[in-house]
Amino acid sequence: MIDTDAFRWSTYVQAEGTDLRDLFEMHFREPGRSVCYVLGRGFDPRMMLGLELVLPLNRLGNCSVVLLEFNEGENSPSRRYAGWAEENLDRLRDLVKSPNVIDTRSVAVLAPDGRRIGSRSAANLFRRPEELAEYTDIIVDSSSLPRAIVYPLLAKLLHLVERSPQSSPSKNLFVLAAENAEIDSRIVEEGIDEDADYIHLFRSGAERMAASGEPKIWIPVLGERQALQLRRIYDLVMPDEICPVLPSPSFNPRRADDLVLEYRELLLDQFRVEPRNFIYASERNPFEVYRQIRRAVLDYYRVLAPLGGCRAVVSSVSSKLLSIGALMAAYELKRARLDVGIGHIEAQGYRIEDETLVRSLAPQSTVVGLWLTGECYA
Amino acid sequence: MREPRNPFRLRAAEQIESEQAFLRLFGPGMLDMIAEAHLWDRPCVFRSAAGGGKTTLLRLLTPNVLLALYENRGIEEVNELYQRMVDMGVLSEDGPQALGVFLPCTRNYAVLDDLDLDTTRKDRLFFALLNARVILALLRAVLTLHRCTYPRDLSRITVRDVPDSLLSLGASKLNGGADLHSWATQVETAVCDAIDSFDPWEAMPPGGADTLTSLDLLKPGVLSLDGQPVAGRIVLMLDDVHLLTARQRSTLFASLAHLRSGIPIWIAERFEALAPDELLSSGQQGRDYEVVAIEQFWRGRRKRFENLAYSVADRRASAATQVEVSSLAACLDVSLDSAEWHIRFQDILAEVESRVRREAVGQTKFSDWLQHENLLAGSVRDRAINWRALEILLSRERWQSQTRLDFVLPRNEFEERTDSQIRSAAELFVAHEFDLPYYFGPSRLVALASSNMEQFLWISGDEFEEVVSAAIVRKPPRVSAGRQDKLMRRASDVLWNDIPRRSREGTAVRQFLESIARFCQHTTFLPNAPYDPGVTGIAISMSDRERLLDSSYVKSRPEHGQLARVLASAIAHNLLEPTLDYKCKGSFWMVLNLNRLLCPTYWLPLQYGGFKEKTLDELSAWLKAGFRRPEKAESLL
Repeated sequence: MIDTDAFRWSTYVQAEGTDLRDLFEMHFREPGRSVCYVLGRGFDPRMMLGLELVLPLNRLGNCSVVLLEFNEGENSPSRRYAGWAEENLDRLRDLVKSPNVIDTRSVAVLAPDGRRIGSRSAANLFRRPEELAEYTDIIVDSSSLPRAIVYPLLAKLLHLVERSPQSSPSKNLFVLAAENAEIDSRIVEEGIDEDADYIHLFRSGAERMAASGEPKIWIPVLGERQALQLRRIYDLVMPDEICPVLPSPSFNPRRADDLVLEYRELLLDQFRVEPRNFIYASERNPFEVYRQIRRAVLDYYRVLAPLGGCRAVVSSVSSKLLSIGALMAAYELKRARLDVGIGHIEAQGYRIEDETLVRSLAPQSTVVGLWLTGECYA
Repeated sequence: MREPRNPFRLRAAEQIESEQAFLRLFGPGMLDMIAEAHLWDRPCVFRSAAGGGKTTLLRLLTPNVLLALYENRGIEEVNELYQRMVDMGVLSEDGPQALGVFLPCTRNYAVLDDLDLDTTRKDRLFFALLNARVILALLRAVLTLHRCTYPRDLSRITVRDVPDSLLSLGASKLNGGADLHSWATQVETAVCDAIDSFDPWEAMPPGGADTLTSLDLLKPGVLSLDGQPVAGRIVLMLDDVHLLTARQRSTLFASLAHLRSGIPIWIAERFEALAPDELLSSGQQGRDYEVVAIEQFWRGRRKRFENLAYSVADRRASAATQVEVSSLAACLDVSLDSAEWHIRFQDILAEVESRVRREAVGQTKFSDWLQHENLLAGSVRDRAINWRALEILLSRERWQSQTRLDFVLPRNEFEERTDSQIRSAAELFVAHEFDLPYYFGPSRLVALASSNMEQFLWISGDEFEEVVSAAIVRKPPRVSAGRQDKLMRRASDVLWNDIPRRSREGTAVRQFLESIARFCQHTTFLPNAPYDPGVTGIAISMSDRERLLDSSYVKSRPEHGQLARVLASAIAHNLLEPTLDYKCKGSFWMVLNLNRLLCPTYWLPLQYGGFKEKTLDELSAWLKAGFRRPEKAESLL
């Protein structure tokens, strides 16, 4: 059983804005840094913000940019923003000059019969520790990557970094996210799948028939305008107990109240959530989301163990940053051999409400960096 | 979890936790659906859009529900259900005679199809996992039915004459429940661990089969508990089969057809499992299995669906904890004949009457009609509608004025021509022109459900919310016609706005449906109401439908290919209601009616029957540029 007090990320490194710049400046002062920078090719105007911060600071080392391309299908609503994606690509090509290189990799999102296989494809992007041998630092920029790609990719990278031979120097794994709540609220999912699914690498525990008698605990991290997504993830999980995570403290002090108001019918009438089950975590701190989810899951496991145990499922329909907190909790608990799934739902594509505004807001985004593993934890 | 404040919000069967609550809320009318099917003879496939009631039906045969139904058979609110289950042979005075083994098809079967393995090995893995889960679900169901403790009492289950097929699964001994459980758990764990492993998967899990061999365990007399057969009849119920890959699904169906095991198997799946060609052919009866298309079943029996809906609504209303109401229908205003509308209708009557008289001035042919007693009979609202119906007739006469002389039209012609259809059109025109409530009353509430129970619970839940709120502020539990109309229009807007988000090719589907709706609105609101009470659908010829099913044709006409995909998506999401082989004007048509909840946004009536024939080119043009109203057309809009 996992030690409830030994938090893997009980201490952590998170920085944003100028703090993040200072952190990377200091980090890359050391010569010989070899960076693998993973980002997605997309239309999101925040796609390049992270790389534009990191690359100029890594003057003494080199950088391989792994550009992930994913085709959401011929009829994806995102196709109308192909021009935006091209602009991002032009910025990337302008920025990445020799000796740095761009390694473009395709992520199959749809199987030939139209099923979603993106999360499985993402988990297979890196298969063995040797593939990371040449790098000292791996940076995953989640800004233009869908959650279904980020979750398995990050989990797999964490696993591979930890499996690196003892003899090799400690590798660093960072995650970046360009945060801007205004932009997030204006990029709307369209063609939401009829059924939710579990993220690859985080599915089996929740679906085992042999454990079907055990109660299911669902911990969704809430964000705005996601009622349909929540309903469909609920239909997947069919939980016995729900502990929604609300963002508090938050920049808008009423945000948690507004969310409860928005989902009043869904949470209280349909899902019949007990008000005492709400969990609160800072909207800008994924490590707190991680801690809260971890603690809640372990508490349920401990309490229900005499009755045969339980299974937990986490989901995030909130910002990318908080979603990473949910992933960290699921990853740590899975490593401790607890049944924890990640329930998620995808969409055919996205639509931008007020394109001009979104473009103008992009430069005001804040790049947040999380140092997940490496030298600072040694 | 908390007690339900508004029980209509508990939509899915799975959301209702206790068996007693499930039985209280279950409308026995649901069983009409299966009364006509050959349930016990061959596999039975239940198909519908999401929320059609498939899982609810399957849950009825699960052991906990059967036990609860048997124990509560004396209680009035479940007695009808009990009797019907007795008639079906599921229950008797001695207790449950059948046992349902419920098995949801989760997504991780589909993952098996993505492995780097040849098809044969993929199929073996698929059936290994499926067999293991059938066994696990069966063992649990048996112990539950006999009130034993799972897994402690597994050893009380024995297998008589272990079928050879089971030994091929790879287990060394399968003599009892404990052996079966241990083997099945081992297989499931091995497959699930492999699927979820961070590291590449190298070894095949133990056990495999090319078919659903576990069905042999469901045969009567094979399983015993303490030496007694576990049930007279065991039904395997596979839910959410649409989550399998297309290949797995067809392999499963082929396997069941091949096995002809004689075991009752119920399969529930959504329309989305069907390919566009299957959707456009509406999934007709299979040779080897029975198909019950739930919405289509109810569309052919509207009165029975209405009765079912009332029964479900009353059961939900009675279950509310914060308000004492036994019937939702009793809380809904059903007419505009009350005193509060009287003055309004007097004004309307005066205006319509003076308009008609102005129109008829100088024309002797209407002189008898204008003095007809029907125009003076009934409530002020009835009279206003009758005058509006006369106005429609005048408009029709105006269109025919060149061919008819100005002879006095006989009184009986007025009576014959003011039938219920034209009165319905007149009612709609009056409501639209004077902004009156139209979508109110229990029967329109049921019509707006479009034969889908989840849709019914959603919109009736909105109305019941008003009842609960009224109780909180100590007002009478009554929802006025105006409020009902507002709620239904709001629900209609929500459905329209949700289309791009909730359906595949959602933006194209919405644009296409908007074109249909605007076309219907234009045609409905022509002054002479030519298709009274209105048009709410389109039709394509059956030969055009055949073209859409022809892969080489749609390849050569990509715009028609897109039309086929959009139509399929709309049908799969119950946004269009298809009727095949409808005979009209000497030809056969596939009629596509709008989901009734799409109608309020466009002021369309809720009756069926009004449709207009369209060609594939016309519909493709709508898909591309939308419907455009003819510039010179006269319209009431």
